[in-house]
Amino acid sequence: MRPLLSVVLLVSVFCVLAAALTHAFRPVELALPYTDRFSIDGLKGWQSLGGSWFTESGTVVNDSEERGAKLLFGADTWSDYALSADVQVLGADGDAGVIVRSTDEQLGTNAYSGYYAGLRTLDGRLVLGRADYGWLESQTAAFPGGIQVGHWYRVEVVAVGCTVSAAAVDLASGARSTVSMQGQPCVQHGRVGLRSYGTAGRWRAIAIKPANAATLAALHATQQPRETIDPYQSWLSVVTAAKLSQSFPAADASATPGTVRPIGSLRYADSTDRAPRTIRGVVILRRPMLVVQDATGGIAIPAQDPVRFAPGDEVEATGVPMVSDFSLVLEKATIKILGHGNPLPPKSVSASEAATGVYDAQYIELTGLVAKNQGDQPSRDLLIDTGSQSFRAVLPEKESGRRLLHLPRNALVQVRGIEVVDPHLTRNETPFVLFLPSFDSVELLADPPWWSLENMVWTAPILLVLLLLAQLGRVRLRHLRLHAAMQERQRLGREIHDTLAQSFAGVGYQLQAVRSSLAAGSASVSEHIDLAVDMVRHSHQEARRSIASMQAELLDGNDIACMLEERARHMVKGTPLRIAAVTKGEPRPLPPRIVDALNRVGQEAVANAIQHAGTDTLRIEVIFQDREVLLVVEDDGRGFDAAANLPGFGLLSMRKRADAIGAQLVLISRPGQGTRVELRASLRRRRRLERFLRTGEPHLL
Amino acid sequence: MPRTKRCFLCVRGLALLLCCLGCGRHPQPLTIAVVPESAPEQIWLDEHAGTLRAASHHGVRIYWNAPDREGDVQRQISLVEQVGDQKDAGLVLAPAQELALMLPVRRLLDRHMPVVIISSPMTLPPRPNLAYILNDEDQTGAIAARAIGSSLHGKGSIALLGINPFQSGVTLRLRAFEAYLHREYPAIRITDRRVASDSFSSEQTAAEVLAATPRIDAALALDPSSAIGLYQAEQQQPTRHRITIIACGQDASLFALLKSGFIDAYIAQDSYTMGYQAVDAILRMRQGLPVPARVALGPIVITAANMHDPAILARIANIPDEPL
Repeated sequence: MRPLLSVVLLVSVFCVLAAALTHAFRPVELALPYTDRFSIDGLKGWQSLGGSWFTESGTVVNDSEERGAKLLFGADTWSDYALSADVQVLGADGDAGVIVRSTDEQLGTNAYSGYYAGLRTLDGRLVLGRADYGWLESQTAAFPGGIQVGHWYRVEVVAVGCTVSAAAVDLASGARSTVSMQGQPCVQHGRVGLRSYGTAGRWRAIAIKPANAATLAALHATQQPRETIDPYQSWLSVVTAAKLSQSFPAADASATPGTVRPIGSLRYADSTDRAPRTIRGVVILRRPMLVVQDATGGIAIPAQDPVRFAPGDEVEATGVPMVSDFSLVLEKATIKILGHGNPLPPKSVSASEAATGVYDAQYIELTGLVAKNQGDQPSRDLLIDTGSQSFRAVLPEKESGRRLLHLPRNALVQVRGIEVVDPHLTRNETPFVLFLPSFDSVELLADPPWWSLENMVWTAPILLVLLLLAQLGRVRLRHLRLHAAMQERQRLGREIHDTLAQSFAGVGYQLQAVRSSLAAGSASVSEHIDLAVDMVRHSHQEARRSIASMQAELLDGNDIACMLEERARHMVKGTPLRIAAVTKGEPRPLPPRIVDALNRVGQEAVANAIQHAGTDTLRIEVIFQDREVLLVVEDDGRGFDAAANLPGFGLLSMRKRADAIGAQLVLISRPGQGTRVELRASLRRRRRLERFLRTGEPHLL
Repeated sequence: MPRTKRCFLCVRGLALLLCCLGCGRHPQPLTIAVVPESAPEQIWLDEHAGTLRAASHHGVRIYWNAPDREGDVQRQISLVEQVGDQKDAGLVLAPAQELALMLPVRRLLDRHMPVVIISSPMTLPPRPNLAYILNDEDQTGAIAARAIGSSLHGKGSIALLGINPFQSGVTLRLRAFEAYLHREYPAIRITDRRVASDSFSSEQTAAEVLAATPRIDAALALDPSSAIGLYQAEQQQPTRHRITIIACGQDASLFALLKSGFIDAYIAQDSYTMGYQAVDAILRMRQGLPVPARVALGPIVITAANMHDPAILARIANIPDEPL
């Protein structure tokens, strides 16, 4: 059971930690009641989805006639509450109102899940319905006297359980109308919002407070009986009343005489012709100048009152067209509004195309990297870089209650705006300037890449420290492994010393005692005993050497040279061979593996010289240099052809031992000129490692 | 306890925990995305009603979203891409511009998402997860030609408005109209042709047509904007004689124009049935059942004689025949 308990415990701890982190970093819950009079903070906390929203004298205005523009506020967890707002419908062909219990919102006409209560000028009714990526109208009620454009109405919506009721009151006359809907499944909670459809709208005095059955009953107290609606008749009446009388402007006797020209054709008109021309188009920008666009191009119309127009207005203008540089301007223009419509969608172009000036005074969409966000604070001016081109995206003053986001440098953004190539506005710094219709015309597509210079400067030292720590850990690990191996070797050495070597010594003493006690004349037995004593001595020495090789730092250069000399003298005992053993340089302790390799290679070389060279002198040298140790075994014997393929395992064994420690074995020999064997072993890393192992200080590595 | 056994116990414990966590969740219904050309037009509201009807029959959910304005191709592309990110069960798309939408749709198909294209075709060939439910443009063109031909008694001049070479549906409709007219009414001449324009410029276009050919006897508006443009131009500069006007499309404005007597008839797509069948096809694709690669639905002809028929209204006015 213990492993299962461990798992459960681990998961529990993880869950508690996750819950604590979630709680710590949860968004701050907006508390009810809440009121907003749009006086100081503008639209702080509100989120727009479509439309062109701004604050003005304590009201919030959407001057776009987009279908289904939304401005949202609040918490998704808000459940039973009452929303009150004063609403003005600013157009004759649409509706404006409020949203409650809104969730899952997106850009789009009915792209949210929630309830909407609005005032519709088209048929003068209060409407209530459910939106769920589509519109399901539940109840409508005729408002006494109809819904008047530009008139203030108070709209109250109460949502309790699965009942949603709405009331509208004419603030001037006190006329009132009420609708209600209920049914399951229903949307139980969500944010509030302001919404308009096909018209501009104005809102003020937003108040949200918790609600219960009593609140609902109070709203119902004056409810009127529901009307039975014939859907066919309703549809027919709406269609015929609206489409013929409002959507299609009737002939206007005061219309400016003269042929309407496509805006694009004015660019190619005779520049000496100062006759007035008439154009028609859709308003795409109001500030800092009025810009009108049709299918063939756009034109700036200066000196116009921006309050008169809304984006999407269809206008007819008559004036004198002037072409300066790439800009087309209609001077001394008189303008007539023909109708209201949706703002035009932007044309998606590349910055290179825009930089040619072809899209001057047109609504376009570009993608680029933020090169500079002017000023320390969120500003109205962005410099955007697209590689080969740069341009400024500017939010005109007074166009919004908010400023552009404080976008980080190198963030990938998509901007939509009206291109202007007028040098007075570009200041000749960029080929064009993009005037943004509203603050949400800049969309952040991707944050800056993490490999920015600033991040690299911060990351590099951290990486360096991590690398050093990793290297230190690796060395420590090797140290531990080596230490364990050395411990084991020392244990074996002690074991051999205490058992085998002592036994050899004992056997030797016993044999010597036997020989001493033998009677004279037993020469042959004595000779055999001598031989046995020699063999025991030899074995004892081998055991000692093995023990020595297992002990770290027991041997140094002197030891190796002496050991080899002793072995050679033993082998040539009774012959005239001269042996010279020297140690040069500063002898120092050597790692066991190197000592072992030097010893074995040296023994093999000495044995070869004695057995095969027929030499008179044998020279053994151990030379300590700064970063390496060199063993030389040299004779002046008969020598041999070193390039020939020599039989036997001796030379092969020496090479293998040299390779095992990364040493270099050099064999120099020619017939009649003696033989020289060199073993050159590097001490560089080993010395550092030894220091580290001795001192435990990594800075020595 | 052996180490292997301990590990096995740990894995079993974790699996049990995850299972317990998963059991508490209710399965979400499938969501099918429906992205028409634009949100507010009557034709797409009817399509939406059809998809909702099918969704209620099959117990699935509909995600319906569209650009606010016809011709907003970029917005429609972004919605299609969003559908891919949402990992919806399928997509019902009425492409605003077939070339621009080709790549986003192909990406969805490569991710094995079922897609049904409605109304106007695309150049992508059908495959197991791609089907077309289209308006029968041959029939639409023939009906329009027959209506004009019979109205003019086989003789006269006509103008064509709303030609859109970037929309296959309109092009097919136009070709069918021309072929039928040439075959059945060779004495009728097409004296003017105008490309499609936006709802505002359509008035200018119509005015130019009426000014250029004062003796025109009939006009075929291949889209609602052109019909509205003709009405607006007529309001500005009334013609001396009444002309026969046949419109194509499905818009509340066309209904109003028909009711006012300005147009003689309009030929609507059966977008309600398209929406219904498209959802049905998506679900069949998901079940691995065969789906017709290409279905052509006959159009609905609305005239003054049948415009008040509730059966017709139910199909063109987004009014459900039973509660959803």
